[in-house]
Amino acid sequence: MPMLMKKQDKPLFYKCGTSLFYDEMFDRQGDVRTPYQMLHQKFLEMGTGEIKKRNARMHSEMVKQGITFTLYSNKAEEASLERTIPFDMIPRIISAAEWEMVERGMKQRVRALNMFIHDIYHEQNILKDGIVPRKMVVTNTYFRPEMVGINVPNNVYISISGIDLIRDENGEFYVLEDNLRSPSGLSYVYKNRSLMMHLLPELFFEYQARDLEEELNNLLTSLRSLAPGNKPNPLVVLLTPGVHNSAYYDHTFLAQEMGIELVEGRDLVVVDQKVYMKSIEGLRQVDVIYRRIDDEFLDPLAFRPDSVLGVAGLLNAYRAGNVAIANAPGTGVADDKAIYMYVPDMIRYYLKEEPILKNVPTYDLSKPEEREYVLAHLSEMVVKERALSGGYGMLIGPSATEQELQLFAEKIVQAPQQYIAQPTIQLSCAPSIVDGQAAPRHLDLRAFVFMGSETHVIPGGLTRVALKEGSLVVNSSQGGGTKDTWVLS
Amino acid sequence: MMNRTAEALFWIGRYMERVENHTRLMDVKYHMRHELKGNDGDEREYMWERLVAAIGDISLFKQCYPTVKETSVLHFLMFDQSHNNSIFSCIRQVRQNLRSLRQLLPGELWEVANAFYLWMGEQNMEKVMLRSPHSFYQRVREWVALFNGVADSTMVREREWHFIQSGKNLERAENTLRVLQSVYTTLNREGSVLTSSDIYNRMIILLKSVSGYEAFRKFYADEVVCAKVTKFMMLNTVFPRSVMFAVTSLGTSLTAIQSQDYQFESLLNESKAITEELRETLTRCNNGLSQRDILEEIDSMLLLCDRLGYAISKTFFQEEFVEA
Repeated sequence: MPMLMKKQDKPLFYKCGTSLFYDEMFDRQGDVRTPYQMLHQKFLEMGTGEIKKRNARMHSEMVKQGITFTLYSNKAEEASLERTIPFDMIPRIISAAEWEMVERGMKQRVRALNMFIHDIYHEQNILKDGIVPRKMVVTNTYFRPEMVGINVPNNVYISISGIDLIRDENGEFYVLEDNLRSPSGLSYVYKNRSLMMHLLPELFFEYQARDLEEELNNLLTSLRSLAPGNKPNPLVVLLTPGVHNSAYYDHTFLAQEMGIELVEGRDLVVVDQKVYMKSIEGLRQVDVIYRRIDDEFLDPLAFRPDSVLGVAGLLNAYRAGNVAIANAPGTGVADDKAIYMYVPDMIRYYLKEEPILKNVPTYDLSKPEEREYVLAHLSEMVVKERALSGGYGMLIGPSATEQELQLFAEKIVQAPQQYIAQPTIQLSCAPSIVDGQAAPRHLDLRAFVFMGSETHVIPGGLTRVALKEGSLVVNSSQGGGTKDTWVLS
Repeated sequence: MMNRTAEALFWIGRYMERVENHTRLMDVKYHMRHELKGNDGDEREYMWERLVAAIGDISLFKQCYPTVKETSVLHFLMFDQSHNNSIFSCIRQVRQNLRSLRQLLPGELWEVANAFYLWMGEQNMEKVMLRSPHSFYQRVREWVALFNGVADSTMVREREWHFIQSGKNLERAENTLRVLQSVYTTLNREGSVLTSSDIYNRMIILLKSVSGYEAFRKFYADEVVCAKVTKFMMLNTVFPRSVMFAVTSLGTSLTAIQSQDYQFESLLNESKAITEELRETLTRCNNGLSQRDILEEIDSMLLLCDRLGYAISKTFFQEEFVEA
């Protein structure tokens, strides 16, 4: 097999550095960017043999620790499979200066979004002033009329948000999506870090990447601060849909790390507008619920009557001010993909500041001229269904077949208000290990923001990488993987 | 029971526990070292020195090794055969003691200790560094867990068991005190230059080095502050690595030995008195002491542990003398 021999002779990064996109590790001339130099050297020294070995070890470690997720599928055997989310051992590095800007931008954005939600459920000034069209808000699936006029603790609606960032061909950061309901993936940030520390300790310590440990404590502090009546030792629970949920690992990890109770709907009961946890010592009053189930499943009396995941009477208890829910019900009104278009305006409106982070240009398909333009250029567009997340219900123009394009064009014409379109942004890429060789793969970044009395951004966040060659879809449900993210200090 | 037997059992408990504690400590320190301040050579050296100091033999180390650096420290702590407290030496001791008692103890227990020893003999620094120290530490801990598990499920609860347990619990109490001592010493030394987030990280290291992180959360949630962590590690009555828990278990074992064997009465009188004193000192720590005072109490408790260990081994020796 002469071909195989030849391949092994090639240096680890031979496929990289010539990309048309922004490459996180190599500049346009193919030279290694400064922050990556030490890492580049280290990987070259290790060579493919050692990398394969470490990779195998890491994989078995992940299986052993049960760092897995499940796919939703119609096929029973596929759905029952627990998968490990592919983890790439080449970390992504973000310089201190880059991060400083991202961090400020995120804090600004989340602050404005939180003010928007408060406004929507109170005075609705932003609608009265015509900044955001009223129709877009009240027809929104995630708008909760039940929340109108309710005051939430400390005015914090979005205790935890996950903001997805991408970089264009010049390396500039853009916000792609705001996830304000119950963003998942936080556990992977921590597990990736611990895997890297154990896998490549020497390299990790050389870099002195910023630490993550304290951030979970900040999250716990902000959850506890939500307790009604500032109770000194509140009972905080994490409400999970259960072991079959795809993000169950995330739930168990967070509950364990923060030392809070992991409960399902059937473990809670509402009596006299108070929420209790059924325990062997009797009922214990619950003060704060960090929920990981969607609004419409929270309370069968208020929302979907067929929901068995929630707790009957929960919303009444919430409205009576006897329990806090994080994130608050109704936050989805601000992470709708059409509302997204107005976030820069919100920042200007509420904060009187210019947005630090840019939005990806977005076409409003309910406007005829924009719709016409999108339909004419569909093969260059990314089209998303407004109310869906997780990479479901999406069209990626450049890689779609004629048939798929046709199908989406019809869908858009039938219900234009349900879709948005964006020009396909060529996500930045970074070398990732594929079959023992480094190859450029596209990636994005989910950054996590915790809002309490202060707002904290986790240094780095979850870098998601599309491991299929040329693919732009990074979601784990669609075959994406992750990388550890190092923010330099 | 012969005194020699009792002593051997007591040390099996101590050494095995020592292996686990040292391993845990090295693992945590090793993987947390980036959080410790300073990047220059001096600071790094100091960090490794502290690791040796936390385990207790800094002067011996300095006699044997000219420079303080990662590989020399790890070699000293793991493989150095001339160092009595290296992991290798501890396991060798356990095996030796077990070997002389094979007829008294379940066969399976000997097999585990022997296999552990043989495995350890095949390891060396090069292998450890190549595979990342973490997986080595993990294996060592699994071996100890296997040993403890086999002992738990096969040993009859007679004197043999209680001697092993008293050794284990004395070692455990001492270890928890020692890591607290090490942290308080550095807090006193550098306290003024540390940011709150440095201190937070130190507290997390401290908790993780006794596997107490998850348990701590259940009691104190987000209050990861020095006073609470100290209280948890010293006084918690249900966390198995707290000083209080270990000292109480030690007392229980000593009482059980007494009820089963009249021969060890004098051992008990003196050591139970010391155990009581330890508990009293611990209780004093409950009342909001200053950092400096806590350190003093920790020092005095470590002395008590020393005295207790001495009292126990003295008994073994004296009784044997009397018998002969």
